[in-house]
Amino acid sequence: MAQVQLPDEVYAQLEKIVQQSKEFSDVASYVSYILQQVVEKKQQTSSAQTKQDHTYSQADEDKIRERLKNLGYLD
Amino acid sequence: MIEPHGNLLINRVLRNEDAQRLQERSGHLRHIRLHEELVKDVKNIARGVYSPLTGFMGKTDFESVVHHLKLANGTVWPIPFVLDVTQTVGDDITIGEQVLLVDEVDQAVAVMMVQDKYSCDAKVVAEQVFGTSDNEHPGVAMVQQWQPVLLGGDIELIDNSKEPFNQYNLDPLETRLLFQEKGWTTVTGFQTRNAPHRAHEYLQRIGLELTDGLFINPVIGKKKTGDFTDQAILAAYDYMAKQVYPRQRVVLSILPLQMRYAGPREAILHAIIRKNFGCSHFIVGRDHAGVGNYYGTYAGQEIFNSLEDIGITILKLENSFHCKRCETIATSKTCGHSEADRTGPSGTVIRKLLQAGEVVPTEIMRPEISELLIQQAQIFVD
Ligand SMILES: [Zn+2]
Repeated sequence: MAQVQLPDEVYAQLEKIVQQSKEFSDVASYVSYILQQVVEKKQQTSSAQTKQDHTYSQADEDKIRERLKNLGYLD
Repeated sequence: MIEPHGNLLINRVLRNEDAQRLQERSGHLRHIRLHEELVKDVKNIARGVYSPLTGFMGKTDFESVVHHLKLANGTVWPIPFVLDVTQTVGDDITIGEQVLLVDEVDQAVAVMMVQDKYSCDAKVVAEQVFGTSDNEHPGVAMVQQWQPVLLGGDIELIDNSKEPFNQYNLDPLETRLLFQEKGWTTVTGFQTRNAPHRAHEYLQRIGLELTDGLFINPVIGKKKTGDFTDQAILAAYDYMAKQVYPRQRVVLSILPLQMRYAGPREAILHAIIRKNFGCSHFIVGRDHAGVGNYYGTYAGQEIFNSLEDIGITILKLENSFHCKRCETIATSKTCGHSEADRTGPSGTVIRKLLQAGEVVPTEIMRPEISELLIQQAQIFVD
């Protein structure tokens, strides 16, 4: 496992949070959880940006409107 | 119009030409066979019903959902969606491999890029998600039956067929456009697994009074013995939508989805799904998505009190009944009479009467709904 250095002040603050919460056993698992979230969020954002091929065009919208009409949902 | 959950409406349905091209090139891919209920999940993911999910969950999302009711990025999400495979298949699959998801007759459904491979402790998952590890609970039994290896990864849908009930099956893209065309800015979503009786109608009327439109969205699929058949539910609601309520104010569309019976957690899922369809409001009544006596009567409502705002307004409505002194459907909030004056809609009584071909008392169910149900080839699941 890799080691990361934290300023003492930050570590002390994290330690306080961990002591108050029942979810995490120590600072390391708490920090690792937060960082995982950050990484996931970054990945999510980048995958959202690449999802351009899935956005739909005017032609797609017309097709949807046509289906809704055919099924009697729209007049 | 309300934003989809996670602010991104997922659309992973391949265009016809892309689907065809992909299918032609997919001959060499490993096939993973899905049972019918998993096929529904794949289609729901691709059509944005489960936005912002883009595929089956990887370990980080899975554990975060199980333990914290959130995806790893912090978006509220209550139920894990996983693809389970045998140990042999799991051992053989490599991360980064593209696999072909096929249905029970080996027809291509989707492709998935395997991004994660992991295992879980079913007992812990059951306790967290269902609040019990009792195998009698159908959702717990489902988790206990998972194969040992779970795969995570994004999917692209090849088979976008909508049978059965194609004519009642709208995607979020479609309902959103429909609501917009109708000029609705607020819409109440109504979840059901039943044919409508007067107490359901009472709840729906509250939605119609409060918002621009009502979205009746019955869950279709695997049912328990004694449940109304999909056909019966749809026939009855088609009548309600066209002959009872103002036609322009109601949309009836199905939701093919496996019930997990996770009670409060499932209420959250149901709300998120309706948000994705474009609903601004969602009705949660008594015993929402519960089974047996695992959850409190209003657990499905109470969970929202401790949850951050998920962007859809939850209409927490009381148990309703017919009161003979009020001469109408009421709740304990609107009727001051005693229990003796009240008749609740008992599922058992309704079932017995309809099975015997008898009309349910009109204060409990509209007579025309009773008659319409009696005429169905099959009212209840064997
Ligand atoms: Zn009364």
